[in-house]
Amino acid sequence: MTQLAEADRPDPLTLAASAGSATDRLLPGLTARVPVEDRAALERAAATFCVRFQPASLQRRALAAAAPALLDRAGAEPLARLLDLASDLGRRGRGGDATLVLAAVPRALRWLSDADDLSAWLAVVADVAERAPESLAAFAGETDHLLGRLGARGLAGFVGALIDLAAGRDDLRQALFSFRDPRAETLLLREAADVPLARLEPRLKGLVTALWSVEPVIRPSPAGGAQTARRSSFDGRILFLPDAYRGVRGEAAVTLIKAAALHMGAHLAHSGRPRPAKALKPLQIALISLLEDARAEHLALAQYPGLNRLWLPFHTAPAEGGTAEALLARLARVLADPDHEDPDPFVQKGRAAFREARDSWDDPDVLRRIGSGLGNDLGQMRLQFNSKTYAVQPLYRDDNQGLWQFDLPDQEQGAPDEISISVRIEQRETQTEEPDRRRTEDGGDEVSPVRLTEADPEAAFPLCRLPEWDAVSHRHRPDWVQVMEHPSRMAPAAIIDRLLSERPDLVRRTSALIRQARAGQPVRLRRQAEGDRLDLEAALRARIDLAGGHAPDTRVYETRTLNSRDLSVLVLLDISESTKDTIDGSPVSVFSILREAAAHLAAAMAEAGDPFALAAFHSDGREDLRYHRIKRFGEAFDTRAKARLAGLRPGLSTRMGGALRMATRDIQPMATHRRLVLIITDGEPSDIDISDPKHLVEDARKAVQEAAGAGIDVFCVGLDRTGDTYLSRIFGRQNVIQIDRVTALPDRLPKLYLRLTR
Amino acid sequence: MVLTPYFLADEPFYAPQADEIELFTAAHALRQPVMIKGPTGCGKTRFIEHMAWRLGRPLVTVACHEDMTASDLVGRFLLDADGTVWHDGPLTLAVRHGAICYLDEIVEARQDTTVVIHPLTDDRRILPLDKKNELVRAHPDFQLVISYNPGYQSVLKDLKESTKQRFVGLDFTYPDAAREARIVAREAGIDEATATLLVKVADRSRNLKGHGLDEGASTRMLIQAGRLMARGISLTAACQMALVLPITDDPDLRASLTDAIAACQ
Repeated sequence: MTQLAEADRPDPLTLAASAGSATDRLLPGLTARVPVEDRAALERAAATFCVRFQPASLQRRALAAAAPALLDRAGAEPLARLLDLASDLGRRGRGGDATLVLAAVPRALRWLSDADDLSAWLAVVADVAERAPESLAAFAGETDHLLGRLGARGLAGFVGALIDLAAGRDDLRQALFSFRDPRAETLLLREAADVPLARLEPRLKGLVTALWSVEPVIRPSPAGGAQTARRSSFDGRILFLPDAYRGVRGEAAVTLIKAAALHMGAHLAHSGRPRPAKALKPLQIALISLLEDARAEHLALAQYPGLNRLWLPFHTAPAEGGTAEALLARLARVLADPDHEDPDPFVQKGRAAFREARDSWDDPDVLRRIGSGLGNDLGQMRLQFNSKTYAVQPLYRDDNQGLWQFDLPDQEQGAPDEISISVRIEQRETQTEEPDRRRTEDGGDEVSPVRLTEADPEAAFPLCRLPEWDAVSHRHRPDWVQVMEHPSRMAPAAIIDRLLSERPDLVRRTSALIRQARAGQPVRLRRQAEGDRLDLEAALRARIDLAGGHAPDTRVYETRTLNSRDLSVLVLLDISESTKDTIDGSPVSVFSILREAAAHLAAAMAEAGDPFALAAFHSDGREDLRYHRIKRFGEAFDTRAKARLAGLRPGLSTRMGGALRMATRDIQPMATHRRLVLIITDGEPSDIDISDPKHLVEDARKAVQEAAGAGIDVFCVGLDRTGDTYLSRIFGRQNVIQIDRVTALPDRLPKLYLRLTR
Repeated sequence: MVLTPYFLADEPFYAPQADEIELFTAAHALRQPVMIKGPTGCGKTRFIEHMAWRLGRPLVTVACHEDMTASDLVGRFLLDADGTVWHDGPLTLAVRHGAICYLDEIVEARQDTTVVIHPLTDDRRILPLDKKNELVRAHPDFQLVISYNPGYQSVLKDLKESTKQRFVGLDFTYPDAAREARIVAREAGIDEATATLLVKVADRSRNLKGHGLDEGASTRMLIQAGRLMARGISLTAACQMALVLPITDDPDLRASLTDAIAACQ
């Protein structure tokens, strides 16, 4: 039968009917365990599977090994889905992949508790088979590693992130899925953190500040290899904390990170400056550090006895085990817990020496002497100590690097680098105005010929990194998008002035509108219940009422109030590739209309005197979100700003969420009553490294919510007539206005602006 | 006398921090306008009450707020059966009859409102009532006192330089830990050990001033917490209710404070 050509094969169901149940043939003895209502679906899937794979095939054997447990754990539905998936792979000539998937099931079952989990896992497997077929083998091979850390639900987000990170490159996907590329491990750690450090950071910072009046800087630990045990670390006021501790999740993870941060807080408060390690041996350093840990905690506990409830449960070293590491952990425990008994002579000696020195703990030489002595004792006992593999115990304590000054050049710390990079970015950020100004002065003048400075990729520099929302895993991917500042292209400002002068009627009408709505005019409110003066008319009427024996209206005051428009506006232009499209056969492009509208709006806003900024964005993958600041808050809408607006060139993609976050950052510091981001876009969010357009829609939606959370209104003008659904999804129905005729934009925009800002 | 209700009958409890009683007494003898600076709930109002009692003067207190107009301070015409009649506002009352007028949280008032006090604070000591076309000369016993909270200082809420320079100032802070514990213990009716613990908690929150909190927990808040504890509420619950929840809406800061309270005990 298997030699028949595909077209000649009989229908599986007919075949099944003729040869008895396919399920029975495939999985003898299991049919009875399938509920009657599920049998039909399973039978169909089994029949297809039987047709696809020979009775003695690897696939059938792998299935036979996995199916009983799967059926017991999750029921018939996931089993049918698994059969379908395997059959589908077989149909596409990927029988080997089908075997790998089937063989991964028993391992996956160790981590998946119910049918929902299993379905979620199968969906991810199908996703990988579809979007990253070359990596399916690597993915199946990491089943334990991934599910153990992430569970089925976390897996979807992680896989999505990996695929996006690879941006369509097969080789990079393979490197990531097989963890040859270290970024995969970094990403995994972030996804694995039930409680991401980013979420806890403000809380920890507040806590350390409250207890010791030192505001620490908290940073995630630099990613280490998969083998190194993760410990916290500190360097001055910078606390490095792991995104997650392996195998610790949920509330336990919160407690652990808190314990670690507070232990380092105790060091910040009580340990003083790092001391030269000089000629100390690694074992002596470990011992002196251990004593210093105990000292700092004792002093902290004297002030905050409650911290013991946090730290003490981590001290679990039993009074047994004779390796150097075990003895160090035992010593740490007896120093922390006065009630714990440990008969080992070394441990006893350490405890006694530490206690006796209580009055001279402040003298660093004392602990040094005790630690060196204890180190000699261990040496006498001929115990091996490997400083490379030694990890400070218990888990919450830091790696002690912050206590010492090592002369060695290799301090194996990526951390200081990271800091210096961030400092550099900040400096560049404040310097950006300077180069802009210079360029305008020599090139942006009205009379000079058009001088387009071609954007030089060398000259672009990263402004900052922004998170992106992953709707699948419901969490942010931190630092995911890089915002690049490309040098502004300049074109003569006369281009913009000409646009404005070509439509004098529009300029006039806009000015009239604005005059009516001008800010800050005093308004007289009459017939008020309270006020600073009498409203004569109302007072007279009340008096007449009184004289006539009627109850008077007591609202007889008038008051003056300022009709103030206290707002700032940031206009954000989408200048992606699609704005190059021309409109209905005319040579006019969407972009040129957009620019004209922006020019008119900017002129109107400048007249109204409202603080406003003008920016444009497009993107080229997540590493290059280009954000052009055409006019910043506080700058005038002058020749320079006009030259930047004239110099804009459309192209590339639309990573809207990142651009909105950047705009939010820009407008956030404005101390006005209302802050409004007005985005003008012609298309759905998209980017070259994103296969699922929904991802960017959801990310933009999240960015709008974040802005709302910061008290910033976001309003969208859509130029895409078909864009109703996704724009409403992103901004909310009432915050989107669709403009049917793009050419009407310059007319409509100033009016819309006034309506929004009343 | 119209000011009779404004006399304080009983001595308000006040624990001096330094020589502020002598300083204020001297300023009062000269009828100098006094500005009392200090964080919320550190005892500014209690101090003024104590001083009014000690000096035997009536005290007219106005809690300033942003909707307060000049009329709210000086007075306005009201309607009655015979027509319009003028009613003195609290400031005019104090000026006419000679009381200490205490404008609490003056920065909360609009700047155009606060200028009405200017002619009262220099040698003229007069209060012009424009609407009534009257010039009220201050009673010899009249004294103006304002409280000013630099913690709230922002672009929007600050006193004009021309207003500030008319006053002599007294700087208040939270009392030192031992004194504050004694105050809390006495006012709340709890033992000093418990009060000391409360003060320790408050100190933690004061470390967060400028790091998320505008102000730390005040002595007043501690007294509230202490009173709850005197009724058998646990320290954790009392601090949560009287301190953490009122002081911030930020969930992270609340968590930090809750953790800090747990660490203290």
